[in-house]
Amino acid sequence: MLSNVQEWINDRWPVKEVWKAATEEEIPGGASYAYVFGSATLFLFLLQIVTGIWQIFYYVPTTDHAYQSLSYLRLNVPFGWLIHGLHFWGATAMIVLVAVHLSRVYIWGGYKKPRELTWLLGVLLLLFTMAMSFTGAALPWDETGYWASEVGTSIAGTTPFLGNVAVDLLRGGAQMGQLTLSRFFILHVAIIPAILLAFIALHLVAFRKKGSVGPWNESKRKRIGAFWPDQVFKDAFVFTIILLILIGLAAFFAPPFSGPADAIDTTFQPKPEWNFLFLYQAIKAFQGPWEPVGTIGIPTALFAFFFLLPFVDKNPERNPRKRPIAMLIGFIIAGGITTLTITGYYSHPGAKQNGGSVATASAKPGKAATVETVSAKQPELPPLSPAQKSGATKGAQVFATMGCTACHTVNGVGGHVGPDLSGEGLKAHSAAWLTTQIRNPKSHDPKTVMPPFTMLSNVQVGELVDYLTSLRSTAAPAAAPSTSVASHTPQTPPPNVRVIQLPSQVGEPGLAASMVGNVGHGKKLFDANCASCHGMAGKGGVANPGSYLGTIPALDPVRPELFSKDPAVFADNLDRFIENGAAPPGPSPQKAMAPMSMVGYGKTQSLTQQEISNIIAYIMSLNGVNRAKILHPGIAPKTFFFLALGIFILLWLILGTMRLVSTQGKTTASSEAEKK
Amino acid sequence: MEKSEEPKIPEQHDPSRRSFLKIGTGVIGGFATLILAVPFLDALVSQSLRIKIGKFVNAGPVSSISSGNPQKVFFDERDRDAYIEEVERRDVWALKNGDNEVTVFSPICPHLGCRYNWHPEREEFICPCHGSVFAKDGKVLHGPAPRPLDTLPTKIQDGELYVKWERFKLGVPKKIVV
Repeated sequence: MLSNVQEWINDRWPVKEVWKAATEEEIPGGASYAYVFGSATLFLFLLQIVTGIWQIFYYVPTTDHAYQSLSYLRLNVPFGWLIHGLHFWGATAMIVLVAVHLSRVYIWGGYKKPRELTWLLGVLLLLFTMAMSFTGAALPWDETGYWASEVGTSIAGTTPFLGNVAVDLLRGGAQMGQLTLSRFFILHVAIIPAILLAFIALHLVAFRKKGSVGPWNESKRKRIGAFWPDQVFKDAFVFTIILLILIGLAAFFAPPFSGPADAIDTTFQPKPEWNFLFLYQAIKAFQGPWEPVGTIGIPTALFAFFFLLPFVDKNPERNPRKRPIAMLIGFIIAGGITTLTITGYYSHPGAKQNGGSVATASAKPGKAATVETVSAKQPELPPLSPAQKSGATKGAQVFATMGCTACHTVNGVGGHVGPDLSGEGLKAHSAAWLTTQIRNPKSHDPKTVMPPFTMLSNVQVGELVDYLTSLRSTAAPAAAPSTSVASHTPQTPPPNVRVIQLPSQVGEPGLAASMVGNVGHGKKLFDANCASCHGMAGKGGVANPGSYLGTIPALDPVRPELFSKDPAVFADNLDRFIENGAAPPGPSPQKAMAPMSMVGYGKTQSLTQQEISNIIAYIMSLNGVNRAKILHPGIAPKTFFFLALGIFILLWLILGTMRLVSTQGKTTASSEAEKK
Repeated sequence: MEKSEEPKIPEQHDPSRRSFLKIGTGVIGGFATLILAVPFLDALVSQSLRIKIGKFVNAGPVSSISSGNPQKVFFDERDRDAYIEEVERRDVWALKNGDNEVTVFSPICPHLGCRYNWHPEREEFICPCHGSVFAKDGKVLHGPAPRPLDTLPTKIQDGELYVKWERFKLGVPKKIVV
């Protein structure tokens, strides 16, 4: 019956012939583990297709939701961590295997006649694989991918003549944006994979036509092995090992959450995917008009070498020992790429720059100090104009209500985190200097903890400047006991007033609450924007005279009303405050001592939603909650890995015993036959 | 370098070895597929079976609902649909029975999910899709609807109506939350 069906189909579709063409191949010298890399790459490519398709069940290629959709897949979908982890590490493994496969063929002289076309198709496959890696990295629309794409497409832009057109075409416009993501998406999931499939087919047909290259040693070539099942068994064995390694990587080294893409971020250090690091490092050697040499010249030269190789090196000799020049060139290329990749991996250009700017900054306060002493000797300051006087009165109110008093003392009232400003008007800081200090304090001293008051209007800053210029008290600033204001005894609130607002009373959370931020990046942002009020690492202790609490709430630990073990709820609670701000109640304020309130950083756009998401992740990590916690793992990643490992070890043991028993059985049978 | 005329020694084709390799390849491949297939299918299946738990949302003061006939009540709910968080507009039919008693019907016909309407002249709910007719209290009068109109959980606090938005399995006689 079954054979009838087989025959019926075979009469109409050549199953047998196709199977024969796919499996029947003689391998000179026999099957070998040296030949598994091509099939391993193919296996990985198929795995990438499957994991890729599965990701599209959840992923959307839009700039406002790509990151969230991927986070959702990874944290909320059962085995989403596995699907994404396999795809992420599979991409890396594919590049590695392609490189090993290429090196193997190079060493064996497999590019020589009659296999030139197989080689050329292979080199093209390498190019397309790199293109997959480049377009794929952009899709999460996270910091890593966004900046790698920004720089990568800019590199294309440095190409002489066609560069600008090329970069606009890649990006779908002059700037990175939704159209860039759409283009990268369609290239990554449809166009390049289709090309890859076609070229893999061509590569395989060419390979089958001329067969395996086999050992260079004539005597070893006499033994003939079969592709099916000898080589395929070895391939399958290697696949399982690769699969286990990938599952292990996905379980133990999950791809990082680098935070949602933020186009105005200056703290992130963009680096390309590891497989482009050699180029990134090489580019640094060429600057100015020579830049295209690094960006375009080097990769072009590299691929030109690979393309021309079979036509230049026509000597049929395949033994590597008798091909010193080819081996030397190969060694130089491999060594060069490896060295550049490693140096690229460990290079931190941003860190160096930071160090530099710190050095120049440390020189600055000294200069400022000399300016101050000089001005102190010149008591004839211009008197205040009437306009300045009225500005100063309003400025005093801004000073009292926008939180300045928490850190700065004026005439004995206020905190001691920042300098006493009672005599600020005597320092002869220009209005422009003061404006910059308020708007962007880090431009004067990169180490300052003073937050940038970007939420103030220009008018308010002007009034503050007038106020500060009017402060001309010559009395020596009071000694700064570190706890003076913090120890200010808070007044008991009336019974119907809550000391602290509940999240539900503040307002709705913003988009930031739904984005999984990056803790490290969040720490930087926290130090720059939040630490001056909430204390370094959220430890609190900064005075808020005038509020019932007396201090600004610490964030480590946060108040129990805000805490939740559910990362989404915790993030929501925190974001309600960061988005909308908060105004702690206090006793009826005297003018100078109104309780300092928190500005709505999201609402006023003082911070981007992306930045806020990173800060949330950091505050949550201070409280022992992982923003990127896997909520629905299916099976816990590590358990799943050990489960898979156990299954395969058991399988290998069973197969090994089966083989042993059958060979032993045979030898005993044959020896018994001999006896007879 | 290939010279086909040279004598080649084919590897010893031991039939038991060959069949072992074939079976081995099949078993290894099968298990690798299984290890991937189970999680990959689970990623699609359990996600589809997940039940969404609603929460009570303020639908406005009870006093704004007039007694007598059912009335459409609108309210906004912040809803998380997979990874998209949006404010969704909800509409329900509310029937006020007293100052402290409101019945709230889901606006979705329990037959196949169309939105039905109140016809004041007939004092009946009629679904335009397949002609199911319901009484004021939600009972099926005629038509293909398998069960009465679905009521939604409500509570009244300080004169405000709170409604928990839920969806139910369609086309079956029992009311099952999905």
